[in-house]
Amino acid sequence: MRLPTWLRRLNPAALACGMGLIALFIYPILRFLLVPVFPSLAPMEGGSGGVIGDISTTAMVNSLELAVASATIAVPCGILMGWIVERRHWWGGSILSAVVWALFFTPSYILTTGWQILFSLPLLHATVLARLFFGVPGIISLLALKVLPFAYLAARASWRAIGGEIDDALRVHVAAPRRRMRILAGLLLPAAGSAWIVGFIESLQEFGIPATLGAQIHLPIITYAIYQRLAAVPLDFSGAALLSWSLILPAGIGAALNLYFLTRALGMIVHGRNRPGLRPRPGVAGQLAFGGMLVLLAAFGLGIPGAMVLTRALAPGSASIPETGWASLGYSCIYAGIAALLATGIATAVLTRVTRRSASRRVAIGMEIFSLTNMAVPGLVLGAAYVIAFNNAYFPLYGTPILLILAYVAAQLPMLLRFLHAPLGQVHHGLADAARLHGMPWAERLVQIHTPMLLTPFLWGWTMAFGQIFFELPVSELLYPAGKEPVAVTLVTLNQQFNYNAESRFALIGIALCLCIAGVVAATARRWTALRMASQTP
Amino acid sequence: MTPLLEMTAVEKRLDRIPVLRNIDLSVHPGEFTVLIGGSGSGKTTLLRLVGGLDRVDAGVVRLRGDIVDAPARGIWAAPERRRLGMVFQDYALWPHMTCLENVLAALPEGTSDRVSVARRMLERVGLGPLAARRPHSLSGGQQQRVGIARALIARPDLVLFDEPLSGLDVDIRDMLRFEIRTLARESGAGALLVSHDPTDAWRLADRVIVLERGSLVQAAAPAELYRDPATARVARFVGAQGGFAARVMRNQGILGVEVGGIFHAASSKGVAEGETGVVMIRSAGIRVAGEGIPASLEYTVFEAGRYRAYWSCPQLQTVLYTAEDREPSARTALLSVDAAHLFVYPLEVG
Repeated sequence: MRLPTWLRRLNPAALACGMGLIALFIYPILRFLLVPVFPSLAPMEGGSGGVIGDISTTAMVNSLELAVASATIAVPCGILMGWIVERRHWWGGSILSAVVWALFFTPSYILTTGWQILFSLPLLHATVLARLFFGVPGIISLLALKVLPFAYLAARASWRAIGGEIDDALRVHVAAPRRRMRILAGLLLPAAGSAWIVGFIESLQEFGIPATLGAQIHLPIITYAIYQRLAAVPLDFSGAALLSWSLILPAGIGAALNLYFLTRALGMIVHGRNRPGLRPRPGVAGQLAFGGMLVLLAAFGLGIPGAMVLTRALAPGSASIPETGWASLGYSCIYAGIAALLATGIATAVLTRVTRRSASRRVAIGMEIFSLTNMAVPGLVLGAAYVIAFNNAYFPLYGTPILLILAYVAAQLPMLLRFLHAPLGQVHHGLADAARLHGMPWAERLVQIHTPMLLTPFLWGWTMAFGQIFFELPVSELLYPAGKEPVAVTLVTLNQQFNYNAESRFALIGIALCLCIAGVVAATARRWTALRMASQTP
Repeated sequence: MTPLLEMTAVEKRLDRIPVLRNIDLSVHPGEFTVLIGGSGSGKTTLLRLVGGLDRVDAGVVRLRGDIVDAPARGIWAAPERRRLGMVFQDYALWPHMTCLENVLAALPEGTSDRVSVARRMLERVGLGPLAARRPHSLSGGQQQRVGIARALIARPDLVLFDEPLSGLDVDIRDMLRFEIRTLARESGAGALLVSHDPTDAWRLADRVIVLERGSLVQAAAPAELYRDPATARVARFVGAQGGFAARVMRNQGILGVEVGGIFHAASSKGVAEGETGVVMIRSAGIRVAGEGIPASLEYTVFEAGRYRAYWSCPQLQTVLYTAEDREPSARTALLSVDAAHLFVYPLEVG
């Protein structure tokens, strides 16, 4: 019997991707978001029946205001930093980049804790600064710090896309400074727009800061309001879903706008020929200004909160870490290890196909849209969606580590697809094709060719995902199996109990453990590669 | 006549590595100068120094007789004050603006009837109907035409071209070459075009300047460059072959080299009698003859109406080719070398 044409044309890999997309994202998220319309979709529904109260409305307004303010602060800084790194040959450029990455990986609730400790000191507690910190300005500042890496990365990519020659053309051909500024502003609009929207979405979806400082000052914020609806008894899925709509809609509009800006910026890339310009060295005044900015960023983002956490962690007579805390280190290692392995494996498999020269442009654009759309769905909504979708007779996974790991994988996948795209794109696929053409069996190809080529980006992705999952908060809060709580849950519980000493000590132990594991994995992989190289050398 | 551009003892380092050494050159009004050199020879850096996109470390750059860059005197004029046009390798069109807006932006303020002037310029480069389009919707050749229109719109007396034809299809390249030459001549502007393609020198240049490893090794009209290439690389650039070593000797008072056991008179370019040099032979000077260097035919290819035969010469340990009207039937032959086409250059160090 002949199969229908559409069935014969079906690519098994594309089919697997499609099914994964439906199972991990579309089905759970849609089911959750439709609860206000079809309450029977949610188990144990017994909440508000979809009524949004005054507090929730306030939370929505607050969240939007905070996101607008923090993105507006972060974006000019991100654009300036991107310009410094891409357009100037400055010794501090790589340090600046490292500081931004460190800030990116620092969990927001640990950053908040550091500043909470500082402003709880008797010397500062009654000052104006403390009053500002324990209020809206404090939250805006922390959110701006947290979204700065996103704004920086988006702006840096745009600076790179604009290319050095376009700057040169401006300098040679346009004599009037006013007109030069106007053209430059037009060039920067997509970069600034994209960076602002990314900052806005990330800020809107932030959970760690609302769960710590926000909860402490009782400022209603949408992400924490969703969490409260899911943590209260009786569970209020309808209310949480309605609030999630209000989170997803602006974020979705933002993601669409971002796509528009990227498409507009794509005009710069479509002609495909951008040589990096020569980067002049800044003068003394420039070096001083850049250096000052680097010091400020390092101090406010890492140094001061880090020092506070360290001081509390090492303080004599600190409160002891609870029994469950030690166990949570082990659980988090297992959860994060497995989930990072799965997520990185899937991302690598997908990207090795997508980045091939033969892959269609439609697939690449589809990937871009997927990762952007997914950016609009925060981990908290994903976690809530999983509670409903996998808590029934067909998928009885709620309360099991499997569901938690699945949710971690789903939450990390878009980020990994985005970050691994460039390093995997640089892997020369022709090398594997050459091995195949010369008759090397697939198993040998896997060990001799694919593994060494993909090992470095794979490990980079795994390490990044491991660190992120180890300290991941919203999904952990909603899906952790009873009695097997992850590190993030323990840390936030300690924070909400104002037990900063134990929290600091525990956070430091967690960070040290994370670094050790990443180090051991990297060293083992390097050793393995060296051994393989040695075994192949005659 | 005051040169349009004059560079004197110009030096430039990038990351402490010398990129340009002691450069002296000039471009005269209306002259089309092609600057050629291999990768890393410093030709783009030189162009950027002229444009003011980089500053010289030492020496003086003059435009129209005025000093625009002289670090010793603390003088430097910004690119926008040099009144130049520039065409970039990667087009460098502002992507958020239409073709018309790109050209308009480079038109000085105060020009009357600006839009008509810009439109006329676009029509002149054959892009009138595409004026409202954004650059990314155009082909590479069309984008480069917009780049040329933008460079010429302000009627500069010197236009810089940074490898404007690289990356374009062969037929488009040839067409654009013609257009660049015609437009430059019509506008009366001098031009300095950077390229690594010998064809650009033959088809565009009034004068060719050759850069090698940051040093200017020859500046001459194309015919002179062909007649008397200054270095082995320039000889190869003008189509010479060979590159094998031979000792320079004197025979009956004439300086030459022994090639295939036969003495040939040769132009020695700084190789003294008794020293070993690199022998280069212009292709026009090699032919199949009754006497000469023993050679065996490797293969023949048909190329643009003639046959190119590749001969292996065991005595010289090299392969030479000849251009034949008919496909050679013999597998072996004797190759004669015309002394007028034979040059000996110093052996390169490193």
